[in-house]
Amino acid sequence: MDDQISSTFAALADPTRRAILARLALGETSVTELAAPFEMSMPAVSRHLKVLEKAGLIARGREAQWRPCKLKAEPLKQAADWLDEYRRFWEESFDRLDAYLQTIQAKEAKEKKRGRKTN
Amino acid sequence: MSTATVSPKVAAQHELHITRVFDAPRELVWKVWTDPEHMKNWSGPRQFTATHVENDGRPGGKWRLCLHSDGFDTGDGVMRKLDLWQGGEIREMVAPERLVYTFQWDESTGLGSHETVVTVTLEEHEGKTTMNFHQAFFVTDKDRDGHVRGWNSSFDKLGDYLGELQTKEGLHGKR
Repeated sequence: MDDQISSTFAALADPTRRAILARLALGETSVTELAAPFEMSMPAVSRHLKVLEKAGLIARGREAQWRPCKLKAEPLKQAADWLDEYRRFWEESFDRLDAYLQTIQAKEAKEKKRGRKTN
Repeated sequence: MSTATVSPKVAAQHELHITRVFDAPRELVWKVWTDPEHMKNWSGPRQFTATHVENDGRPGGKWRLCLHSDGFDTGDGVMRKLDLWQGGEIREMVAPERLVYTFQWDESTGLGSHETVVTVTLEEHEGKTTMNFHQAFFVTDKDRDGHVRGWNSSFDKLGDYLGELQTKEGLHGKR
């Protein structure tokens, strides 16, 4: 599980690969079609596709002339769930931060008041 | 570098962005974020207490803390004692407005030991502080340097964005 998540995030960290995934979300297509929007050589695009395939995010057909690329949604969904957990983790921490800030300030206000009284 | 436009929703799959407004001056929020004595009083979700907080408090320095729970159900109905160690390196510290550090769980936690980069910025308006928190999920230095900054999209679930992509945008707007 840990390795898959790391591979998924490594794959998503690149804007070209994210763009490729976005296109594949619309349906499977060829490498040529995927490469079309980028000012990038075919070997460079192929390298990106290899990373995506290794990360389990796309599947590629095997016929020599037409190797369609297809999106595999499950790893992306796992990454989405993973980020959900992180979001919950931080939101709860910030709830505590909020309450803690109020506690400190209430304490400071009280001590200031006490200080004024004894002067 | 690619010249294609990327759907914000695809970009959102790899980072977290949270904004909060705290009813406190910025200097105090900064202190509470960076002083170990304060950090331990709010770090971690409800069921945890932060023990063992260390913070070098300077760029290039390290930080480390442990989230401890006396009884935590990890999903199988068994209450377990948990010690989740986390730490990282401080990249930038511009008091009281900007904090950038790396965040990584210890391998022992089983939570995934890949390193993430956290950016916290604080702005003050009329005595209240707006905190922008951003966590980016990268694995290698190369990936980090290649990241295009500035995505300001909210996080959505995969199902939603796939559905929306299919009805709305093509890769470069033509389809």
